[in-house]
Amino acid sequence: MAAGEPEPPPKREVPDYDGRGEDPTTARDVLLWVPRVLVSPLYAVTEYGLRRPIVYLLTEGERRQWPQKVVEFLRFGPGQNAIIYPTFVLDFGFRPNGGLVFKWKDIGARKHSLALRFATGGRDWFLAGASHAMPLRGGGTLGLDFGFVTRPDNTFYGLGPTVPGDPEPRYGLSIDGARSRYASTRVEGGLSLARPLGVRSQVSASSQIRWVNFLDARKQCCGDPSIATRVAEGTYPLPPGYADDYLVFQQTFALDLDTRPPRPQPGGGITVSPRATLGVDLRNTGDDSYSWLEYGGAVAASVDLAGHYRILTLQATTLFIDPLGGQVPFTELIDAAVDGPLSGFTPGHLIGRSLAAVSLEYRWPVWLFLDGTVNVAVGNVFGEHFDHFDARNLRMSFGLGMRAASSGDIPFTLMLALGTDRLGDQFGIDSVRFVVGTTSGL
Amino acid sequence: MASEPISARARLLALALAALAGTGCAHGLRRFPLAEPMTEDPDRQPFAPAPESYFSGFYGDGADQILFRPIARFFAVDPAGEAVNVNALDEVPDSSWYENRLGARELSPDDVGRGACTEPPLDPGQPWSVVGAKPNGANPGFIIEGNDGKRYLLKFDSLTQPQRATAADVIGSRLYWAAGFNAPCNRVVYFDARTLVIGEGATAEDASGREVPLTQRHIDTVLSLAGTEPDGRYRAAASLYLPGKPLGPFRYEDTRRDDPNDVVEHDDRRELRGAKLMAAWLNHFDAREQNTLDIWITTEGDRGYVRHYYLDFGDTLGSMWGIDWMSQRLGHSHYLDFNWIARDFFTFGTQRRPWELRRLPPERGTVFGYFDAEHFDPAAWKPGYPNPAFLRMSERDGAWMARKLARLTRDDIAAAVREGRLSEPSWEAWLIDTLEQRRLRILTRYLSRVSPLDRPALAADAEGTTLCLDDPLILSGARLHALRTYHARAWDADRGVELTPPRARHRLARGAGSPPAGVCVVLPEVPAGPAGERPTYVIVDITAVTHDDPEPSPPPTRAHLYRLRDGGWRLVGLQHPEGADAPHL
Repeated sequence: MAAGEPEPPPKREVPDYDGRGEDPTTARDVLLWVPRVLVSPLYAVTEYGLRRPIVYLLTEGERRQWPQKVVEFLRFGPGQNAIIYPTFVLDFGFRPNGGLVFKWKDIGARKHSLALRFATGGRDWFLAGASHAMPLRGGGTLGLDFGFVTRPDNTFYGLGPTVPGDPEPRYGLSIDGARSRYASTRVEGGLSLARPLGVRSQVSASSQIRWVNFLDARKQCCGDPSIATRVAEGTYPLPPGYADDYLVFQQTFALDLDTRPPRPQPGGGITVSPRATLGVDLRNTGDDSYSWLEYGGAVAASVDLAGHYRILTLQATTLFIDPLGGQVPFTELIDAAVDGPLSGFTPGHLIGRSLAAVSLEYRWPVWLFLDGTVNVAVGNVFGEHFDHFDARNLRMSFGLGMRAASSGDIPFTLMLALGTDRLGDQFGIDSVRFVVGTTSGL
Repeated sequence: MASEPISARARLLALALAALAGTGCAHGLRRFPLAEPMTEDPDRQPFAPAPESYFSGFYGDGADQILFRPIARFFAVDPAGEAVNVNALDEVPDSSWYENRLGARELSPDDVGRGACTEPPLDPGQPWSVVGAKPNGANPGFIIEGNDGKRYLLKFDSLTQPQRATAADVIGSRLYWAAGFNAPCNRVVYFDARTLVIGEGATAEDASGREVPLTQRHIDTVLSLAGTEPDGRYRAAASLYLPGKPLGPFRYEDTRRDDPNDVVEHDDRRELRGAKLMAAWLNHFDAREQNTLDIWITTEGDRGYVRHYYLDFGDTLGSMWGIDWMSQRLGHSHYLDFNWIARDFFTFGTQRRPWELRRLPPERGTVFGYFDAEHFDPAAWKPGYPNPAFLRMSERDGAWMARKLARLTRDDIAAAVREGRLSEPSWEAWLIDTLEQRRLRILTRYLSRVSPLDRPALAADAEGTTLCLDDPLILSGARLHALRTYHARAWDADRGVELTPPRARHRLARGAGSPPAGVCVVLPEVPAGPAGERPTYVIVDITAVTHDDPEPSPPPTRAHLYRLRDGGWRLVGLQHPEGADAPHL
């Protein structure tokens, strides 16, 4: 109450509604004081440190029409179809990062969209991206993309199921004994073209130019040694491409055949997703050039167990990458967590020249915009064309979490996943991964 | 010294035990005084100055009720007890919040159909002056000044659910009013676009919420979103402005600091708790504080008091959202329901949830959305986001509200529905049936855990003095009287003895030949005490039993009476215990 304003009259007594006076104190009333006193600090924090100030701020903000002002600031064009939302990613083992995504629909013309993203994970960790999509006459979309990321917390554990020239499988090493970090800057941009084939199927092609630079090799991050240190220790040989930066042109063709009905319609179906990528070194053409061909894909069958979006999906994935002349930079090799379904391993943990994996995923709705997901996968990366393939070299991955129900929504993920040792070893837990956040923004 | 802390702990323990021991006798009989039960809460005492206006933010309240309040209240360790404003007859006295209408006085279907409306309806043949417009947002509409000089809020239907929102706003206001709540006078009106004229100094709210001068473009924008009837007229719900000064919404918790009459925590008010069943009945999922209003009623000079209203029932009777999956969940789940998320996540989707079974009926399409009786479970019903008063509704609060609803007749419901002026007779018939079936679900659920018997009255007949009570389950048709029997027990609380079981018989509604409506119990002979002693305290338990009912019989209704020295009786209390134990004498 402002100074000078009259004090409100004193409150009347609470009436004795039933005429029997105050209720007598019961044993329950007394006993309740025990937990009440025990958790009173938590109550004080949540009520007076959290609830009241935040709700006051939100309410005052609305009273002063801050939300409208923010929306007004962010609105562009006649359609006023802009949106901004914050992103954050907490992927244990990497630096947490947060940022903002701006999206505009119908910018300049109908069905044209623009998205911008910026994120930072602190000093030396920055990400920026832009994506512009334009509809094509007769269907399809033309995309223009640009991306920049520089970060010091990339991980590297060695290549393939064994280190070339080393009879000791690298998976015999513990995580701590193999993990190293490297800093890199990646800049890429290009065009993409996608044409729909039915409701959920499409064919696409993309052309990109990418420049990757590895920063100071002696630089350390996150308490782990650098790749250079591990190499000097003899843990594994220098990975290809690490010594230099590289500039490549990449051309990808992909086909996604998907017979599943679009959400929210229930039902399963078959998906077939072959893809091929040609990478060409734009600086060197000789035996030391970084050129490659990546090919493979996934085949999956989904069934709706109950007709209410309880989707069970069995998927098989195989991928190969072959050098065309020289070598394939280790950052372009196949990653079992990124390109395959072994989500219990962090990116960079399992990389190699080929991938074979089978996964079984069950997905069910837990909220309007969220699905629960549990998955089990078995597979690994191997050498050239499954070189060193052996059932004993396979690993398993178990994941449990939630993620956005639709790829069109803000891509939220909450996941706890475990990765195992090779089946031929003691089959213990080798990797624990916990991810929470909006995993991508564009 | 090592012994000191031990000694301190021992003292603390002894203190706690002593405190517990001191509460041990709290289970003894709590007698009602020999006095008339309170029928009116004197909370309309004039005072000054008028309370300040309260602003309730949509986002602030939503975030609070969904996230922050549940966390803080968990650590407050404050489980809900019984409601506070309950009189000796287990009823809510009349107050600035609530007025006993159903059952307390004769209420005809015409009364229900009229609701809070006491003035003639708007005349569409005369111009209506538009003084404000809100062309944007989810609920575009106008503020008009009618030819009667009064202000109205005009709201329209969505194109996907023609006639629903306007009908719901009117029907909801009638049924809330009949149940005893303060509600505005809402009416369906049809008018031609030419009826609307721009008033002097009229303003409109632009997209950012700012006031700008009203133009014909604003009016056209609102009307373009409204859709028209086949004859080209527009249909709207006209809500008459409430008399008095608006003070903003009331909260469903705490009290208004600057209202000296407001002394009962709102989440401990029985009528606000019991209103959960009203909301459930109509699927008023938007029962949040922004849809309430406090009005300053001036009595003399600058003095006055605060009256509390429910507003805006446009979401009831099957409102649909843009996202169909959300529409299916309305009433079953909060918008963001951590309880369901956790349960669905940890059960891996093995449980099929009720909203997953929802389908739009082909005969009505989207008009009434997913509103039906088949999937209605009143005990599991949830509003869009948690409502503090609803969360504390006890079994007895629910039974109180159910007893009120039981007194609505089918004709009452039909009268309210007719005010919705639905153009399709089949919609009207279906809506009456559906409301009736949903009401029966509420009654059978909430009058099965505690006794439904209420409205006690003493009468003298040839057999002596009888205590008669209504049986709302019979009155409402939820149970057949032929299958209903009653049993009674009685105790002399002063002497601590059980008396000869009184005889119980059906009570007829209006004398011989009329249908049974409850039970009458012949009060037992009680030995009179010596002259000069206080009257004898007598307790009578009456249990209603339905034969062939799969549900167990509820505990008895417990009447507290005084046997006066002159031989007369005085009823002083009525309880609806949750247990069947005999009274602790």
